[in-house]
Amino acid sequence: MIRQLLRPVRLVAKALAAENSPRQLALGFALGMVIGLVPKGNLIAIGLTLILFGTRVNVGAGLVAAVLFSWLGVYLDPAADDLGHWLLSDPSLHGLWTSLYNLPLTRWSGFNNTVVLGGLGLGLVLFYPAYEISRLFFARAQPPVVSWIRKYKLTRVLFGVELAANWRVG
Amino acid sequence: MIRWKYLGPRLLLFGLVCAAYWFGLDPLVRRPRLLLFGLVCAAYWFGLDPLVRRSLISLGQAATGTKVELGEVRTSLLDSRVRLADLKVADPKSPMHNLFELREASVDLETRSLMNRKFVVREAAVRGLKFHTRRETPGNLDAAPGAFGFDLELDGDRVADFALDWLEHVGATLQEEIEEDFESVKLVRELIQRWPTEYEQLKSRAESLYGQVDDLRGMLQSPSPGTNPLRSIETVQRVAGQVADVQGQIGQLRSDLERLHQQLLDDRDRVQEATEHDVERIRRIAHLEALDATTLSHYLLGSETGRWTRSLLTSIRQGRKYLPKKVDTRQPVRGRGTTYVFAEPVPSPDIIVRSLVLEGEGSVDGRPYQFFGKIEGLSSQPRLLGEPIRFAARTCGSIELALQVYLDNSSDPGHDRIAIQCPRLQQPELVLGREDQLALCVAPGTASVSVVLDIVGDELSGRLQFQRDDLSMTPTLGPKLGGAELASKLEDAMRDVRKLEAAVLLSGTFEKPQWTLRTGLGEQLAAGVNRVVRQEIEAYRDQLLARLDEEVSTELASLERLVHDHQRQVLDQLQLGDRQIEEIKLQVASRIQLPKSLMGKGSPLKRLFR
Repeated sequence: MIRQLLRPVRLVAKALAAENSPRQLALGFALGMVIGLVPKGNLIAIGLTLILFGTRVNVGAGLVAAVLFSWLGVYLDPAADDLGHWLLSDPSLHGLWTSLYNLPLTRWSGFNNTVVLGGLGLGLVLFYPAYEISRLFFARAQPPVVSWIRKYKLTRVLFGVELAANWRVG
Repeated sequence: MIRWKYLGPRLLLFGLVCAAYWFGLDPLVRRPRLLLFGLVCAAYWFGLDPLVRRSLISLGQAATGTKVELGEVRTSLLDSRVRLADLKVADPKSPMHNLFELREASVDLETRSLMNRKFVVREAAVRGLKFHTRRETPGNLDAAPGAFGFDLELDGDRVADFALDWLEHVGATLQEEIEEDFESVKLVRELIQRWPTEYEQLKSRAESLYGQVDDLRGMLQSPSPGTNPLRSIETVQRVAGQVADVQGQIGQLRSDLERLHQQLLDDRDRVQEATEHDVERIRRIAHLEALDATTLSHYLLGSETGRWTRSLLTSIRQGRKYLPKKVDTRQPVRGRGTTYVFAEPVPSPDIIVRSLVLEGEGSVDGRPYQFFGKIEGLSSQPRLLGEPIRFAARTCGSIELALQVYLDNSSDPGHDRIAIQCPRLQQPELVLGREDQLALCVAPGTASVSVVLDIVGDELSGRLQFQRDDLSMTPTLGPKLGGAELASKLEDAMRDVRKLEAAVLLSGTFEKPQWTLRTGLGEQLAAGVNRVVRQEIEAYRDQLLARLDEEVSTELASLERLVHDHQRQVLDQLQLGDRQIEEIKLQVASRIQLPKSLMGKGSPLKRLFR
């Protein structure tokens, strides 16, 4: 139960100091960015969240990025809206959208909304640059941050809990 | 790359939920981890309902602009069913009342349509529906929507105004103090004032002559015997001269009396002429155009039928506000971004209610009634559904009413038909018209009301029919119109009117409706009202004529008596003067000792003294 309660705090600490590779941190961050840019309350957002939690990427970095880009997404809405309009009104893609529209469950994904599709498109376009930039950042920033953060007792306690949880047998 | 540690347990638990659904909860109870998962699922279940409840309240408040309260929500995702309990929606126009409240509502959705984000209600039922119930707390939110209003053009109102004018004219006629303005009476009174003045002048002139004659007599009697006869001759000559002058004045006075007598005759003619003028005026004032039946109908029923019509149209307009608008094509919806709508193999509306059963109760004037109804074919895009909305309802209890509504917006122009049948409508006591003028107090009874209304596009046509066979009416009249006395005569006149049939024909557009009233009541009543009013006015006219005749005769008689008295007095004085003049003449003749032959008839001296 304590483990469950401390889990969010642990995730933040883990994002910064866990022994994850910069690649996993960068992937988590890029995925979190896409989640942040897409409006919530649709299957696309739920699906992206499921990917974040279901793959071996850094969840903490992903959550931080999601929160950060959800806030930034409000300012990026006009750009996402324009991109969504451009995609949804493109005649060459009309057949694709119509087919998707008539598939079960796809209307719950909100793909036919300009901000959702534009946000997703924007996120996918920015995914690789964000991944590369954040990977370089984490590769440089991770060692000093880890050594600094491990000095604190709380971090050690959190990691102890994580270790104890992982060592449980049976 | 897949994090099975995260995904695996969730998939496993999902499978366990499915297993629990099929095989029961016992395996879960035996395993603590599965029980924990069950608790998580329970939390999800319990969390879903408050979420739906909150969403419904927000949606309802956004739609109505007033407070929406919802007691309980139960959702079942497995069989796509939602149940609501104790829903209360405040009335935007009256914050201390609910627009409606319901005890229970259940909605059974089609699961397959939900996959395509379509809400197709297979069956829905609303029970314990009540309208306009009292609230304990105000139900207004910060921004209340505007109240419904109607710019209803009612021709009947104008006609009713005319009826009021007619009644006011009758009242004014009966109340007019016309005798104060009789010209003939005024003229006679003026003559009575004038004639004594004229005769006073004549009388003073007669008295003056009488004095002069006395002086002449004194002059003749003053000289003593033995005085100089020549002086006597001078005196006699002077007296003779003055006698001639006095005689001339007497003659003038007589001719003035003659002139006044002639003037009296002329004045009498003038009085006669003025009397005829007064009679003509009385006849003209008492002449009244008959009250038109249509005018009376609108005066009596215009306000009541107008109220019904307004109420009916306002209710329909309010209902139409909440009905789905005609949607030709499904356009992108603008919210956060724009939601595009693409072609479907079989286009269908986003929301369809195939069947909605309504059960509820209400009250009119404190008398309760129950109603049962069913709505079919309700949809958010009627044109896509291609079938009309059909609503049938029936009430029982204090009101027996059958309602059928047919709203066909599947083609252009849309055609809405509303039919209401109310065979036994209990009516309280009604007051038709205005109590300070003419009013009819209709005793409580049972009426039959039917309404058929067609709205094609925006064009409105319809008929509101009202019938009552047990009519019992008591008229009342304002004091200006004759009060209770005339009202009792009117009541006798309309004793045979036992039936009331009225029809309101609606036309124009729904935004600017017009109505025309058709009823036989006005015709039946107008005959009675006209007869009674005419009798009253004729009696009043005869009374006025009799009073005029009496007053003129009395005043003329007193004038003639006055003139006669004064004339007699003046004539008496003149005759007295004549006798004295004769005596003076004889004295003059004796003074100058003239033989009587010289003073006899035809003598030169006699001529001299004339």
